Amino acid sequence: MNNVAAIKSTTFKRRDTLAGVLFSLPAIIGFLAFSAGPMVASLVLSFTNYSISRPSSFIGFANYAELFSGQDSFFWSSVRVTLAFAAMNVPACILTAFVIALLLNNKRLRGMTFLRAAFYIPSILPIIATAMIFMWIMSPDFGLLNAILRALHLPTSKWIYGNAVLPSLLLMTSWCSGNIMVVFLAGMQGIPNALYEAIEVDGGGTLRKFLHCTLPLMTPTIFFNTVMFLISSMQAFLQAYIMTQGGPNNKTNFIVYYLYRVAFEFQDIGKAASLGWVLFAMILLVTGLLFWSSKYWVVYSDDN
Amino acid sequence: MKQKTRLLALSMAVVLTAALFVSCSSSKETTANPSGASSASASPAQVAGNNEAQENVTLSFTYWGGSFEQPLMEKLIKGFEAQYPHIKVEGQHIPADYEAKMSAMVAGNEAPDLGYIRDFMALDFAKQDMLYNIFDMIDQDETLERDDFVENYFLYWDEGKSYGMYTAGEAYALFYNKEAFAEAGVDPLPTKIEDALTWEQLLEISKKLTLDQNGNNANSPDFDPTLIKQYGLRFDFNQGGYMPLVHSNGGVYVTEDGKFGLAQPEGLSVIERMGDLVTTHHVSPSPAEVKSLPSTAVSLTTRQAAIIMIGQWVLLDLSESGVDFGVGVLPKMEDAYSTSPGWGTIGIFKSTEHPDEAFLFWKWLCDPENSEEAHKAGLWMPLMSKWYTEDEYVNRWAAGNQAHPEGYIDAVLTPAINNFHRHPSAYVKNFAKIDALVQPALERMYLGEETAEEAMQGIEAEVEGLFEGVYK
Repeated sequence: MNNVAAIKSTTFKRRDTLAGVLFSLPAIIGFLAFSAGPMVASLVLSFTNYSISRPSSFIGFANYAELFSGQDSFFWSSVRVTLAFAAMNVPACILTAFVIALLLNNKRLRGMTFLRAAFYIPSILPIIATAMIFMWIMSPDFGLLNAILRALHLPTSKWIYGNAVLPSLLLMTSWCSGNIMVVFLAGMQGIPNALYEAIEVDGGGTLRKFLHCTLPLMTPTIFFNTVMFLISSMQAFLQAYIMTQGGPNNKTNFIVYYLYRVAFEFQDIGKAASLGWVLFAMILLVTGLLFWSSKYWVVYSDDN
Repeated sequence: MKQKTRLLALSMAVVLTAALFVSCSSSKETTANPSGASSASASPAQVAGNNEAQENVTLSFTYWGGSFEQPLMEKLIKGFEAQYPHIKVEGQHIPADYEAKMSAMVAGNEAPDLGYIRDFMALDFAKQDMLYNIFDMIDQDETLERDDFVENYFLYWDEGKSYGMYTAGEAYALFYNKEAFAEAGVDPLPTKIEDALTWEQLLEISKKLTLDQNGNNANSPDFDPTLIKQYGLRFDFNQGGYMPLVHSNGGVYVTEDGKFGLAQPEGLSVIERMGDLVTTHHVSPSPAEVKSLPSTAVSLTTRQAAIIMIGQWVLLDLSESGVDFGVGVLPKMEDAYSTSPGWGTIGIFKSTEHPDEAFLFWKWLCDPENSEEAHKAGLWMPLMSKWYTEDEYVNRWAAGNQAHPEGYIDAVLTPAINNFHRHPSAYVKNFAKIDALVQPALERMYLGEETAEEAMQGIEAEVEGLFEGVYK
């Protein structure tokens, strides 16, 4: 009997593995065809001084040394602003999206379909359009925000055009967090009603339902969203490219934007490639830390 | 995320393939023309010989420019094609991010046959033997001599080697909204160099012309600098804004002994005074405020700025907008009057298979006989001398039309010949990287975070470390 069971379970496992591989095959093929080669290429390039107009040669770790030694005037500041932006952007957007999802998950809410659509729409707008609108909203002289502040006799700000540029960008990114919100909403709707009913039977109120049921069961979704959003925040580019051109005073000179400048403004492709790999390593490290921390706070329903 | 990494990776792949192609093609070139420049200069003549066969040729040509400039250029291209039916010019208008696109094209071995190039990029390309020496091409041409052109407008990468001329003649000046002047009771700006305003006079006028939402000017005790409706003077924050004034103050960008000119007294005092316009006097918009203003030309039309300090190419947009505007000379600082051109050239790439046709097109554009419209419309000043010196020719473009107001000849045309300094981007090696340090430092000053002295001296050592010499 035991033997049969063992054989059965191994064939199942094998079948599962096969199915898994088959399902992920498109992604694997895509990676091999489009990503693997260029990745290797960029790694190789990062050890050269390849520039658009000059012949190139291997220079070992010189590009990396130039970055880390501080010889490059912009590298460390761009690492700082990238990390600062990610550190602000992730909690701000995850929190906003989570709270909105909570509100929209209320079954007694009127006009729910409309509201869900309304909160989701910003994330399907082209970022260029969103950025242009926010540039107007945050205009120091003619913008909506300063007009409101003036009407309330509050001090105005230069928003994205002054020192407050990073926090100001959060206004826009939070506004666009509809796609995170949708994932949260889906997660919340996957929580079995029976659990809430059980709390009701035990006499628990809304707060208890949230603390003991919604929040723990949502941790895997929060974890997933945090990882995905952290990665995209560290790759911030468009805000800098469209709205601030890395300024003012390099305060939005994010690593990817700096990479773009090094490659196409300074024509230093080798160094740009090395910047790409430094960012890759940073993201790997930060994501690794998140995964490590997940065992302390992420609850999977089958772990009880 | 995957998509973004993929994009990044893809672009790297493109670059790598490009690298392969570039190295292949350059090796081909070197085997074919082992003697480099001299053989390259011989080829136009050879092609000229074959020209009688009139085989069909397609040239690719890239250029930048505003919304009025593109249709104008397309018209010029059509005119050229009509005259030379065997040549087709594929004009590609690149309105923004021109340097990045040009870099990508060159990296992808897709460089145009000829095109606008920022002078600092062209300088680098020329040094790598990627551009033709325009002198060689002019010397080969029987209909042209070097002396036909304005000497000021040639750009050099070495002794006797020019990577091209400016895209057109240009010169910085002041342009003002006449209605705003009349309302404020301010006299028209002087158009003659000898009458040029001092800095203090310009500041006084700018104060009278700076109005807040309640109509108070900057001299009024009730003036609210946080709610400005009309700025007195708008200027560019890049070299175009400060270099003519620095030159006029006896300063330079790089001193003879390799020091950073903007940190030296002559340069610094100009930078400081420009900073004061923004932070102390509130008569000029800061970089932050400029971001929410329309283009320089439009802000003059809409009276968000009463005076603008910019290159004369703005005449095209101003005359198209129909605003009633005047022209004046720049202020004069402590030394001689100075004006500067733009910072673009037309380069003919050595990778072209049709250098002769490319030169023919360049030559055609340069001659106002063909491109009179672009000159009359205010976009270009001629590159050829007689259009400055002989009244008959001068009057064909610089007077008697909507784009060239009274006083233009004194205020713009004459200084372009007599009081002319190239911008540093034309001759300072490594300019892109140096400017990447200078611009944020200026922003710190305009934001009021640092004084001019702190900003400029703070980057002095680093800038001097990036100096790799000049070609003058």
